[in-house]
Amino acid sequence: MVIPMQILTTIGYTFAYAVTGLLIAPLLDGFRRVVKARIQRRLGPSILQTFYDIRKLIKLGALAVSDNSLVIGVPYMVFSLSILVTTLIPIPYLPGLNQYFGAISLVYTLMLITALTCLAGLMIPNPYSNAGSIRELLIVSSFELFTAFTIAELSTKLRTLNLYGLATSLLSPVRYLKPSTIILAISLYLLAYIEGGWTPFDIPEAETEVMGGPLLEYGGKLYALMYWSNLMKKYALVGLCITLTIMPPIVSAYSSRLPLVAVPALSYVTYIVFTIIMFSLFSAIEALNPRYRIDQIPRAFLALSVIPLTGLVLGWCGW
Amino acid sequence: MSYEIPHRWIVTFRYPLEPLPPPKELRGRPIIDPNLCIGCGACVRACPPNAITEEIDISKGIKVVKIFYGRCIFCGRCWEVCPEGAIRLSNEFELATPNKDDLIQYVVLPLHKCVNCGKPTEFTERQVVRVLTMIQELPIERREELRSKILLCRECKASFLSKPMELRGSEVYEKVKA
Amino acid sequence: MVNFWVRRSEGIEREELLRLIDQDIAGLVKEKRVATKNFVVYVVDRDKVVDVVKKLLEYEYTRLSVIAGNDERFFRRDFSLTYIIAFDKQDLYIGIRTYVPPHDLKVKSLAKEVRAAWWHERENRDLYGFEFEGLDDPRKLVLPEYWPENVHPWRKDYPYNKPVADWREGQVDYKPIKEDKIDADVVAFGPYHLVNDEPIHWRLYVKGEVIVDVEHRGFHNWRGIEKIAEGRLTYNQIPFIAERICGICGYTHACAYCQAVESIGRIDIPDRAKYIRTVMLEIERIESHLLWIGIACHILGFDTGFMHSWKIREHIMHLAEVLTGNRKTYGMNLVGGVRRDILGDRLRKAFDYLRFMRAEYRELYNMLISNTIIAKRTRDVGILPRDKAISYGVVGPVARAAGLRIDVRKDHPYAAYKELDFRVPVYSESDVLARTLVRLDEVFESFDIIEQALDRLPRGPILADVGEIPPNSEGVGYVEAPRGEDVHYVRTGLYNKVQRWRVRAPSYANVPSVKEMLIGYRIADAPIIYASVDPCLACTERCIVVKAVDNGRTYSWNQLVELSRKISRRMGL
Ligand code: SF4
Ligand code: SF4
Repeated sequence: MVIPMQILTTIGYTFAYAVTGLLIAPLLDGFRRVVKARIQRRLGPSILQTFYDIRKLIKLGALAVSDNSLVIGVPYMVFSLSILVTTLIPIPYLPGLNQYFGAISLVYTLMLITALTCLAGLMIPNPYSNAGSIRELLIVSSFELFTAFTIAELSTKLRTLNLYGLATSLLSPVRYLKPSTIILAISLYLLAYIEGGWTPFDIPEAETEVMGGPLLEYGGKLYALMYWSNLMKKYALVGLCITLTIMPPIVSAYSSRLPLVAVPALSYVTYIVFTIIMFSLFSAIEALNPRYRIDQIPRAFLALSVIPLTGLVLGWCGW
Repeated sequence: MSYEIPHRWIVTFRYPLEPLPPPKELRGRPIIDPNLCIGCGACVRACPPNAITEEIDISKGIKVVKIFYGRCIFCGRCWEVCPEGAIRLSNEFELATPNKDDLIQYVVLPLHKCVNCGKPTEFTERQVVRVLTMIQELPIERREELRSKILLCRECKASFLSKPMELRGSEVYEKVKA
Repeated sequence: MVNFWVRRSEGIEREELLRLIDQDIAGLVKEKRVATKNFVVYVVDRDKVVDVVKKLLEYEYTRLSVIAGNDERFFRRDFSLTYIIAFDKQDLYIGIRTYVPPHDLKVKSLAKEVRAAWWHERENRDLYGFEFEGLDDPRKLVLPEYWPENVHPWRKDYPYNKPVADWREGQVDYKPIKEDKIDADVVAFGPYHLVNDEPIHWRLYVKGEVIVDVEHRGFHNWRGIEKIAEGRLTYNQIPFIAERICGICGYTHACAYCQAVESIGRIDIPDRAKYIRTVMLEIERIESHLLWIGIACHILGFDTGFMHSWKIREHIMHLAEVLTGNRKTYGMNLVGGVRRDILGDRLRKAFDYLRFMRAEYRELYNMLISNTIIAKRTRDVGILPRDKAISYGVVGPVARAAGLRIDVRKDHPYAAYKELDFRVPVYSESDVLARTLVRLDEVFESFDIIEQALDRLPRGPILADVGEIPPNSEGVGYVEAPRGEDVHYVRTGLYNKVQRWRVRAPSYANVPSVKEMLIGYRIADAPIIYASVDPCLACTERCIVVKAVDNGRTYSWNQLVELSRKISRRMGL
């Protein structure tokens, strides 16, 4: 039996995506720590600190607090779903699983992760865990509007919702510097920042208020999985923004002038570099902000969803 | 590296990996100089948390001044009251240890033996020497009288004291000479 | 009912006021003793004491500061209770004392009307066995639940080093009093919670995220430092243990204690010592406020503010190390003065540091003031109404944020504060933001004070000659600690020892009022509201040692890990 070449490359690229996601997420967190430390005028830990942390946690073994199989299964599910999410980032010229997934299913996967985390958090009889889960749900539900507007804007703009299609359709010279495009880019970054749970929006896990919220009762390997998944989610959201905003103009600038073999590699490198830069930028923003209070959030989100809405309207008007 | 007004952006140090000397004013670990200590016990009485203790072992004929840093609060009272300047507060502050015995300094001093009966007294040889030098300035009769008291143990002193005054001084003096 | 603060007292001189008081309580007083220049004790019958205290609290700017019990059976076969009331505008402390015979220790309770008495009465019940009629809180305050009912450790026939019968047997659990009566969910905030640097248990009764009622149980660390001092230390050893009451504001305790003993011995400490004490007290205030600012930022999730504030704090700690020989627990005080002088090059170094730190602090101040999220999260949160503030007798920044113009440095001048020029920031909003601003502003004032004091440092000796301290006399020492008024009541005994030493740390007055601040706000606010009083439990509970709990029911860390490993193994992970 001959396996078509395309399937082989898809599998290969998907594998590469997954490995990248697994390895770069802790590394990016290392960058985050160093950037924050520098802003706080500390030496800070080594860039590999997050790897050490994860190793230590895994060494501890699985520390389960309950014999409820859902509570124990959730870290594994969340972890695999997070790996899935990282394979969906559409880096141009690297078509992987993302060819078969749409933006909507990506959003649903992300929501599934949240829902599973919250479910486990609610099953654990710990008031802080419960409070954190409820907060998480509140945030997700009040953020729904923003997400919906952004995706609507994306689809009207690019006439497709296939993830890889989104990235490639941007490669053909579109009019980048239109007001609606810029607003779209801003909404995407906001989405990545808020959905990724960066301070001031890290309310569900807020250490000093609900002590890690839904993650509170996990320990050892289980916590490592949750922690790692969280990092991958953060990374995936940032990566998504990069591929949809910065990458297209740059890649389309050099892709026509280079031999076809070099393009995917270069595209990959560009992507990694910009992800690191953007992650550090996010970290800097995070370092300069205190946390919001949960009741201030819904109103703030409602106000924020005006941004993608404006973009949507402008897009319709053809600006 | 030491701590000064840091005119640099990063203010923290790789401390345990590189040394960080404290300012010279720091009151660190008190150290008794065993060559100077006379075992007077002034520090024992002044030490607020009883970090310094003294023990007299008559059978072995020694006095042990023991300082336990686990209790020490680094106040420096001992250093203030020591008549010999034997205690110095060093600059050491890294005292963590898995072994409690590392935190103890012993100073062992031989006890003075009574010139009359030869039994150890409650004070150390150095204390006696110190007092003998201190009384050098006194008028001779007074000196003699004190000297007779200093060199004897309690029982001998008591038996001597019951005797008339003139006898006491000369008798002890004879013994010392012998 | 008590009519708090209905009679004007501002502008009245101390003698005039004492005359007025004499008239007010003329028929009720059995005896009047002038203990020190600003501490007057009235002896009253025990059924009148509540009325007398209430009458005095009608004057403006009065607070019930301490209720100090004492076992005086050795002198006169009685127990005594002294209600010490501070008159803040007359630099006066008045003690209302009543003697209670040991066979019948009943006294009327004040706690319902004067909330400040709430903890004091419970403490005296635990430690001496007084019975307060009408005190509706049956729980212990300082003693643990397993402590036997009729053993009262503060009585003089209880030796300071005697252990209780094995506490592992018959251990009793803490029983919350309101749990059955309230229809609400329970959120246990503490004893171990990320924002609690020290253990305290707030039982929050919540509906949704809103707090409807609160219950407090603290003193997990209570160890009874006062008893050690009464049992085995001499006058000049106590400053060192007093300093270890608290890791943050220890020096204020050492000062308050020394001042109390100095007032008893009528010792005038040298001017230079006064100035040096002032400098160190203010250094400690800056250090403490910066610590608080950092923690508050951390609680709000603003770690950059936390790090920057602690960075400046590190400089001030270093300055303290240079001046005294230690970063904390300066060990500077003895009765009669200080031990270490501030000499030439250290003085210069201090000026350099201060200039540098002031600039850095201004940066931090601007950063915090201009941050909108901080303002949003603290404005109108944790409001303590003025009348409640008066009833709880809150002190320090909590009081000044509630619009009460009290500051021991101005009202009862000690050390060199009379000769220095500084302002006392007062806000009236009484929310977390106001408390934050009071502290932020105070740091600038402290910089001013230190610079002035170092500038004017008089020449001369630093330690006065201390003669015999008269036995069997009493006095109060008071210091404006970073958290508020810190009062030490000292009664001297024989053999160079104190007979009674009562430490009332500022947090002891402030923490009970947290209950009022929490109700009506959200769980998310609870940490910052609780932190806004700058709780210092080490002071409040006067402790130095924490004991690990590990018996059959309470799992140790390793047991817990083992237990969850077992589950994991069973689940095949
Ligand atoms: S420094 Fe203070 S505590 Fe330590 S041994 Fe000397 S007197 Fe005792
Ligand atoms: S005070 Fe000095 S001489 Fe006396 S016992 Fe102590 S260390 Fe030795």
